Amino acid sequence: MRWGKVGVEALLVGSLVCGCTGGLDPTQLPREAMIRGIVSFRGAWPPVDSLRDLRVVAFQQYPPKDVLGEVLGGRAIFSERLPFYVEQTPYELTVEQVPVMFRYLIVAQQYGPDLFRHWRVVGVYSSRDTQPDSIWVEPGGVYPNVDIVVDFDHLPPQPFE
Amino acid sequence: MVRTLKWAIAIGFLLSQGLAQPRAVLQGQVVEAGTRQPLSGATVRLEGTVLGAVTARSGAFRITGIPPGEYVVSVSMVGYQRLQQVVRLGAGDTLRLVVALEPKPVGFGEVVVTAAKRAQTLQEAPVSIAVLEPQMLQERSFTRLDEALRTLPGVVISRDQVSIRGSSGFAFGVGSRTLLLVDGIPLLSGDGGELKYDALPLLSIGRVEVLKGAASALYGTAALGGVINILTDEPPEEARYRFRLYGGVYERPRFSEWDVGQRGLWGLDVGYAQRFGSVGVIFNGATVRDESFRSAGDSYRWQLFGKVRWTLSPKAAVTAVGHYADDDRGNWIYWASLRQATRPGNPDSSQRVRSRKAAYAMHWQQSWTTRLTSLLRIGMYWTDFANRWAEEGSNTLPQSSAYSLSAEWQWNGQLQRQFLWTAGIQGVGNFVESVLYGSRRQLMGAVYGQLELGTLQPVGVTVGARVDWERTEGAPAQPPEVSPRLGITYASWFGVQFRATLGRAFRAPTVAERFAAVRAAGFVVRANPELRPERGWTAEIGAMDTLWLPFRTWRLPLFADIALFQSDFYDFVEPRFQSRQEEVVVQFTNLTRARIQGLELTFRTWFGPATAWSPMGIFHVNGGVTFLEPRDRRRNDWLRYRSRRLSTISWVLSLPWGELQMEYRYQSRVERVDEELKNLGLISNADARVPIHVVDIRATVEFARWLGVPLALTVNLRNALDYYYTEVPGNLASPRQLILQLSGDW
Repeated sequence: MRWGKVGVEALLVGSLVCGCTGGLDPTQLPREAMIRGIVSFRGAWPPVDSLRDLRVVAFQQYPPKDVLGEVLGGRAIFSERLPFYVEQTPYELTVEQVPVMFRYLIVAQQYGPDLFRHWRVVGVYSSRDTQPDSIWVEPGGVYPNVDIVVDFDHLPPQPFE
Repeated sequence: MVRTLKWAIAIGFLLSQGLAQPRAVLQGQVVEAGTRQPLSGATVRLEGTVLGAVTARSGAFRITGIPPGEYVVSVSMVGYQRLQQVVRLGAGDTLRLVVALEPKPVGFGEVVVTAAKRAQTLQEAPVSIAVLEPQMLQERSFTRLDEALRTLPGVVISRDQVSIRGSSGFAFGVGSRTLLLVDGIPLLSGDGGELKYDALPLLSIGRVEVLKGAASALYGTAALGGVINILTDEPPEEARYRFRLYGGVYERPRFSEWDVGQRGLWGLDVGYAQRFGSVGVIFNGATVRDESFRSAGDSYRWQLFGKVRWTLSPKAAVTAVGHYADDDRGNWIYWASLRQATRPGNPDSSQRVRSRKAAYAMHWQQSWTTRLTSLLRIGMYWTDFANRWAEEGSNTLPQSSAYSLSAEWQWNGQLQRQFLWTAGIQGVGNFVESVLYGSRRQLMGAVYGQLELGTLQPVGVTVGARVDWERTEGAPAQPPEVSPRLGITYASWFGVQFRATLGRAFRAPTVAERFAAVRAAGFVVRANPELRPERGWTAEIGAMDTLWLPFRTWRLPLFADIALFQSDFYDFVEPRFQSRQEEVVVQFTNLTRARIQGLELTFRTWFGPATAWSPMGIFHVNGGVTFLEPRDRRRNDWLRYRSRRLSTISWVLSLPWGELQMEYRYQSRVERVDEELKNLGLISNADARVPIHVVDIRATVEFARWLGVPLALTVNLRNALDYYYTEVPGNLASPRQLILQLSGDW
């Protein structure tokens, strides 16, 4: 009986402990913005040995010098890696430094082993076919339907040095 | 001269074997005084020889091949008073001995080997030592040693880096200020000087001793903040089979932003050990699959361990140890942001990392006379890691392979009854082939000596010093490092055991810190061959005692240890982040002059009714608190990545069917993070830090207690509060985990 009481007390303490929560809380950060869309792929995908990475990248300035330098300098953000050999895929960009103007939104492909230099643009967010479109992002804003078309047979102009 | 020496060694060896005489046998049982319960795992040794045994589950032991003579039999076990008894054995005798050990609060009578490179009781050691027992490692479903080290007072783990009493901050795992040893042989990687906690299976560990404070006087480089000495298990007399099968799940986060789906982990450990006459063997294997609670954090690991101990004669024994570990994991380095804390932010996160480690060691233990012994340790430690793309290999990705070879010949002697000496020579060579660091060689040599006078009579004095030379190809020559040490113990007439120690320590920069030149994980790392060794002094005064406090109808034993310490460090090596043109450059530099002052209190007590399964009382409480003042003297600011308050406390309730345990760990909020890391925006929300409150709960049903079946079922609830915190920048620690474990030992 005494052991049962001790066990029940232990369980009560355990339950009390488990009921507590705390620590880091991402919801207490300033409200971030979200850019969402679909990346559609056309043309012949490049061979696997030149598909190191594929991401949506949003640059604050145009033309940018490179991908990683701009990201590390806080002037660009990128999405998670996109899947290869698919017809289309959704993406999501979380923008924490708001408000901000993105003047150049692209899909970038890492084609070689050098993380800093071996990148090329394979798709550009553009509603007018020729010129990149800009997006003004405000705190808490959600920007859906920012779709990008990648045509591997007809790559856009390359801005990187 | 060489020939004469060879003859002398050969004659000495033959004399020491005493081959012509018929041998005696000492056998018997070790039981607990009072309850007469057999004690499994007690160590029985014949002093002045290499002969000994570890008791089987029945408490039985058997030592054969003993030359006739008079011996001191020493019987010890954690939690019991060490017992010594003189026995006389004639030729061909078989003597049966039943030894009853008195239960004692852990601490007193406990035998440690790290403080003086010889077996001594905890009271004889002039430094602070904490001990981790294997039972604790196996019951808690730990998969790596660092998970267990976190539970020790004054010890903080920051990813792969261990900080003893604030000695280390966070340097991406490179350049450990704590020396890791396995049976006395260094186990730091040859390139980065890193601790690889997954190098050997936990089932192989017999005990872990953690020495706190400067220890270069005996151990040389890296023993700046302390020493972790893993003592591998010893083969028992009878066959012993063990297994541990566990599996569990991570709690899905409360915040949908962090949710990456249901993830879990599982693992299996198996082990076999036995002695066959003069040869004892241990084989262990382990595998762990961890899906991780975050993207790109998963891992799959397997490990093998083997040990063979051959007692050549009563005076000589040779031990060979080998272990291998293979780990394939995602390349998680830091988060994308606090908002996306379970998604990687390092741009190379789509790579995978394969890490392999292998270690081989040989020990030759020789007792030349009853007062002169030697121990030759030779070890090789190979580490290799390579990043790769998930799709195919590439030889330009981060990769490093290193061999660390070490050899040490240690001699222990006794001139008179209370006059002990230790001396030795040691050499270490690190050979590195790496995309990151190039082809490098680092050579180190050392001589050391130590005298212990009048231990516990009532004053004991230890004096010693070590001289180390270090040369690294491509780096400027450094002057020899001289590391002296003075230790004093005093057994007072009123029972309190006092100690005081002053010691110097140093750490030679590793190949990685001097020569890293790479673009990885978003950083551009630059070499700095001019890096100088870190140096420091640690002073400590301490006292320990067991008090018997009246409480209701019981007298509670309270073991308490208090330590007051100060460490002064010069030329601390730390990574420095700088923005140059379009790049963020990292370079290891001699950046900081530091002083850490502190107070540490550790305690253990038992209370409640004494039972057969818990003779000291059914409630067991132990813990410790550490107060630190870690100052950067150059900037007149707090040292980076240090907490000022640390504490752990564990409650165990022993029941007829098993045990309930609750453990609480607290670390105050880290005082300061790397400003450059934060300001350059290299890691998003690098400043996200909170105090750490972690509660672990365990319930174990021991079927052996009521069914006689050697199985145990354990439920572990780790981080029961589901408290979210970081230990290093940009790394969310594990949320709540529920793990079920079935283990067997027979």
